[in-house]
Amino acid sequence: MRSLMRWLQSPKRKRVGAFLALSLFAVALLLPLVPVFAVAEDTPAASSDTPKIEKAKDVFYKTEGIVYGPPAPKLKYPDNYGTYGTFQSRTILWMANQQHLYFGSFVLAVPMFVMVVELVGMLQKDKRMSKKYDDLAHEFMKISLTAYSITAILGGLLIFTFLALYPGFFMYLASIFRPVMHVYALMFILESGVLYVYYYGWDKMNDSPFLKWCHLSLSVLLNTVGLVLMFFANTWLAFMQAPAGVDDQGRFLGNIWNAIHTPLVIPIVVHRILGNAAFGGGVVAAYAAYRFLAAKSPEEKAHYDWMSYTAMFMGVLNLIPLPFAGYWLMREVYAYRQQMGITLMGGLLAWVFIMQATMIATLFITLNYYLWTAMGRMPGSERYTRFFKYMLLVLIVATLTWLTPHTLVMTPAELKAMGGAQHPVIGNYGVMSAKNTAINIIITTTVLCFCIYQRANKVPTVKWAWWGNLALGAIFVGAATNVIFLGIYGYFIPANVRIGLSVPQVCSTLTTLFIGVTLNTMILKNARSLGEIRWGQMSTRGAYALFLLAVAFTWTMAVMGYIRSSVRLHWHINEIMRDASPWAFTNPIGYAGNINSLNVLIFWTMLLFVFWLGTLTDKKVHSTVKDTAGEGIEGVSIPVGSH
Amino acid sequence: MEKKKKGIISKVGMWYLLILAIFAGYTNWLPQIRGDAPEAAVAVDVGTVTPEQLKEMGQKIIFGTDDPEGALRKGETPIGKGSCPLCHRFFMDQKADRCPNLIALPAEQVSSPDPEKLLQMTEEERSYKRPLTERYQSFKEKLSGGEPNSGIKPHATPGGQYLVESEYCPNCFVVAGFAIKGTNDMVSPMPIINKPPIELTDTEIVSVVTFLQTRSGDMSKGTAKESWEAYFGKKLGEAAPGAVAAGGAAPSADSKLALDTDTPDQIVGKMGCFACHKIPGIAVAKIGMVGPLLIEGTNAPNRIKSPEYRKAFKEGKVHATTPKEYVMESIMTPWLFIVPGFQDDMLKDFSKKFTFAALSNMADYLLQQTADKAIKEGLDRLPQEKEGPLKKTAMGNSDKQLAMNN
Repeated sequence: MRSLMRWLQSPKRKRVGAFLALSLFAVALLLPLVPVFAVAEDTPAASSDTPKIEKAKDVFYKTEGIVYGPPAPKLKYPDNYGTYGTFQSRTILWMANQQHLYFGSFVLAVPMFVMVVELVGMLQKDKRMSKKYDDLAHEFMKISLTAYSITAILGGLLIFTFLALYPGFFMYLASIFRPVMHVYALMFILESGVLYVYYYGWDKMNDSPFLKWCHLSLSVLLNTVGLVLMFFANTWLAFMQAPAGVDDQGRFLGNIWNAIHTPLVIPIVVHRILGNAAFGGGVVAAYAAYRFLAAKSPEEKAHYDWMSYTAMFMGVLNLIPLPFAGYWLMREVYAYRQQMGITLMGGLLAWVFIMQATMIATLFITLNYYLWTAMGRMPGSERYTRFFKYMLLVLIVATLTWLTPHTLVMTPAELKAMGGAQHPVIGNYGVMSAKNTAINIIITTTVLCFCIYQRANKVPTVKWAWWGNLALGAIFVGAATNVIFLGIYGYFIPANVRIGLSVPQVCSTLTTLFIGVTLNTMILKNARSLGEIRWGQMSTRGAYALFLLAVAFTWTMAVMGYIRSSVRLHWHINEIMRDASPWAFTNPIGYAGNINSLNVLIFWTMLLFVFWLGTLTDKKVHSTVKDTAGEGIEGVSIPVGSH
Repeated sequence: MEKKKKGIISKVGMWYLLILAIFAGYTNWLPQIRGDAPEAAVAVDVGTVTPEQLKEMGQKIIFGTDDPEGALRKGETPIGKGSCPLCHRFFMDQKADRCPNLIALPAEQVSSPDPEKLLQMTEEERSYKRPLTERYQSFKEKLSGGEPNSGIKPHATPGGQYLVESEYCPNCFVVAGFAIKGTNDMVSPMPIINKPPIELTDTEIVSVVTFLQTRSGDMSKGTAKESWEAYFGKKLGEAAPGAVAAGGAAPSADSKLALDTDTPDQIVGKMGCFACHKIPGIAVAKIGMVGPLLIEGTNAPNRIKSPEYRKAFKEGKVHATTPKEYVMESIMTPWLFIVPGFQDDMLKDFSKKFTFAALSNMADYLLQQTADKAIKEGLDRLPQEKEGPLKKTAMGNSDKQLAMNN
C-alpha cells in the first residue's frame, strides 16, 4: 500500500490513479446487477425437478406469466402480527418509517445541493467566490455526514420493527423483491464508500483542477447511487399501492421488472426527488438561520445569511414544480383506480387534502414573506415595498379559495340551516375550477415576487429595458388573466371537459416561471447597482420565517406520506393482501396531525443533535466575506444564482 | 455569549413547538372521520357447527335480518351482505327476476302459469335434477379445461355439490334463459361469490347453501358441509384457514348505508348496482344486463333534453335541470322516469340508503364516465338502448354532440 501511495506522489500519476479509482467505482456500481440477471435466467422450465408449470395473469399488465411464488398469505391477528404492550403497532411502524424517511431524504437531498454548489464554485472566475462556494458545499456535506449514520441506524430499526410487528407482511414483500433486495444492500455499501471518499478526500482533491473534476465526478456517482437507492425503496411502496408482477392471488409471476415498474412508481419517484430536494433545502436553510442568529461575528453572520438564502433558493427551485408533479401523480392514480382518486380528493381523505393544501399555502406565503423581509438588506428595494401588501392580499384570497371544501360533513340541523351540503356562496369555491385557479395564482405571485427580488437593488441599463419591462408585465398580466378566465369558464362546462382546462392554466404559470424569469434576467444584464446586498443584515423575523418554512416542509412531507399510505385503506397491498390487524381502519385526521407533529418534533430534536455535533468540529473562520454591517460586501460580486 | 446561545435555542424551540401545536390543533379542529375496515365475518368452529346454526347464519347473510318477511311487510327489501335478493326471488311478495327464483315452497303451494320457470321445485330439489341434464353435460364438456374466471371444471354430483359449485363458479352451469344476452346462454350475470365484491368465506357459502337446502324445514337435507368437502376433496376448515378473519373479510352486514366516506366501488358493492348495470371503472360491474350502461357523462346531458324527459318535466313528474340532478333523481326516485326500452325494475328504497355526500359522490363518479371510457373497457350499451351501440365513429359524433350541447 505504501509503495502504491509513493507511486501516486507525482501529479500525473495522481490523475491516472483518480481515473482508475473512478472506473473501479463505476464497475462496482454495475456488480449488484449481476445476480439479478442470474435469477432472471433461472426459470422453472430449466429445472427438471419442477413437476408442473402453472401460468397466471398479471393483475395489472394482464400478461401471462409462470407462477413462481405462493399466494399472498391470508394474515390472521394475532398470529401474523406482533405488539408492544398496548401501543398501536401501526403507529410504532409509522413513526419508525417516518424518521428513517426524514433522514434518508435529507442525506439524499444534501449531496444534490453539494454537487450543484461545488459545480457553481468551480465555474466561478473570481477565486474568492469559488472558494466561498466550495466551503459552503463542504459545510453542507459535513452536516449530512452525521445524519448519514443516523439514517443507517434508523433503517436497521425500521427493519427490526417490520420483523417484530408485521412479519407476515414483510416476509411476503421480501419474497417478491428477493431478486433486488441484495442490490439495495450493496448499493447502500457503495453509497457509504463513495460518501467517505468524497468527504474525506475533499481537501486533498482540491489540489489540481483535474482532481477537482474527479471529485465532482464522485459527487455525480454519489447522487446516482443515492437516486437508485431511493428508487428501490419507492418501488416497494408503489407496489403496495398499485401492485403488478403478481396475479390476483399475489403469486409472483417471475418478472421482477413488472413488480418494480408498477403503474404509479415513476410519478412517485419524480415527486419524491423534488420533494426531498425541497425538504433538504429547507433543513439546511433552517440550520444556517440558526447559525445566523447565534453568530458571534459580523463575518459569520454574513456567511450564514448568504448560506440560508442559497439553501432556501435551491429548495424553492424544487418546490415550484412540486405541485405539477403532484398533479401528474394524481392523474396517474385516477387512471389506475378512479375510486382511489375519489377517496383521496373527494372521499375519506378529502379533509387530509385540505390540510395538505394548507401546508402548501403556508409554504408559499412564508416564502414570499421571507423574500419581502430579505429585500430589506438590498438598497433600492423601497421602490417595490408598496406592492407587497397587494401581493399578500392576493395570496390570502387565493389561499382561502384553495382551502374551501367542496362538501361539508354536517349534522342534519346544520344541513337544513345551510340549505344543502354546499354553502350557497362559498360552496362555489369548493370546485376544481376555483382550486386550480388559486394555486396557479399563488405560484405566479411567488414568481413575480422573485422577479422583484432579482431587481430590488438594480436599475436596468439595456436599451430595450422599457420594452422588456412592458413584455414582462404583459406576461404576468396575461398569465393571470388567462388563469382566472379559464377558472371562471370552467363553471359553465361539464366536468370531463373542465379537467382539460388545467393544462393551459399550468402552461400560463410555467410561462411566467421560465420565460418571465429568463426575460427579467436578460433585462438585468449589466444593470446599474444601487448598492450591494448587505449580507448579515437579514431581520430576525426573516430567520424565523426560514424556521417556519423548514417545519412546514417537514410537516407537509409527513401529511402527504400519510395520505399516500392511507389510500390503501384496509389493504397492506392493494387488493392483494388485506390488513387483518385491529388497526386496519383509517385514523381520523386529528390523530394523524398529532402523530405528524410528534414525528416532526422528534426529527428536529435529533437534527439539533446532528447540528450540535457539527459545531464541535467547526473551527472554520468565514473570512472570505467581508461584512460591512450596512455598507454592503466590499468587492464581492454577487453571482446570478445569489438572487 | 453562551447565555445568548441558550436563549436563541429556547426561542427557536418555542417557535417550533408553537408551529407544531398550531398544525396539530388545526387538524383536530377539522371534522374527524374514521374510515373503518370492512367487518370480518363471524368466526365459526366448522368442526362442531350444526345445520341449524348454519341455516341461521345463511339467512342473515342473504337477508341481513332474522325476519326477512317482516321486512318485506314493512315495504323494505331485505338484503344482506350476500346481496342474493337483488336478483333472486325468495318470496312471492318479492320482486326480482334477473336470476332463477329461489322460492322454496312445496310444489302444491305454488301456482305458476309457466312450469318452465321451475316454480314448483325447491332449490334443494332442483339441485338433484340439474346436474343430470344434458345442458349440464354440455357445460361440462365445454369447460373441461376449466372455467376461465374461477378455474373450476364443472364436476358436481346431484345435490349439495351443485349448489356449492354454482357459488364458486356461476358459469359452470347457467339456467337456460338467465344468461347474459348475446352470450349464447352461456355466461351467467352472477358474480363469483367468494371474490370481490361479495367475497363470502367458505363457511359463509356453506351456510348459504344450508339455508337453501333446509328452507322447507327439513333439517336432514342440510348436507352442505359434507357436499362442500366432497366437492373440493378437503376439510372445510383446512380449505381457507384465516379466510374468515383476514382474506375473507367482506363488507359488513351492518354497513348497508352508502356513507360519505365510501368509494364508488364500495357503494356499487353495497347497493348491488353491478347486478343490473355495467359501469366503467368498477371492476365488478361489467356484466349487468338489466339496466342501461351507466355512462352518465355521455347519457345524462342528452337524456334530460330528450322529448320523453321534457314531456315528464312539463307534467311535473320530474324536476332535474342539470345532468347531476338527473343522476341523483334517477337513484332516489327511479320510477319517475324510465329510460325508453327498459322497465321499472329498479329498487325503490335507495333514498333511505344514501347519505347526501355519498349520493353526490356517486353522481359525480357516474358523470365522469363517458362513452370513450366504456369503449376502452370493451363495454357497450344494451340492444334496447335507443342511443344504439357504442362504435368508435358514433363515439366521435356523440362527443361532438356533447360538446355542442354544453
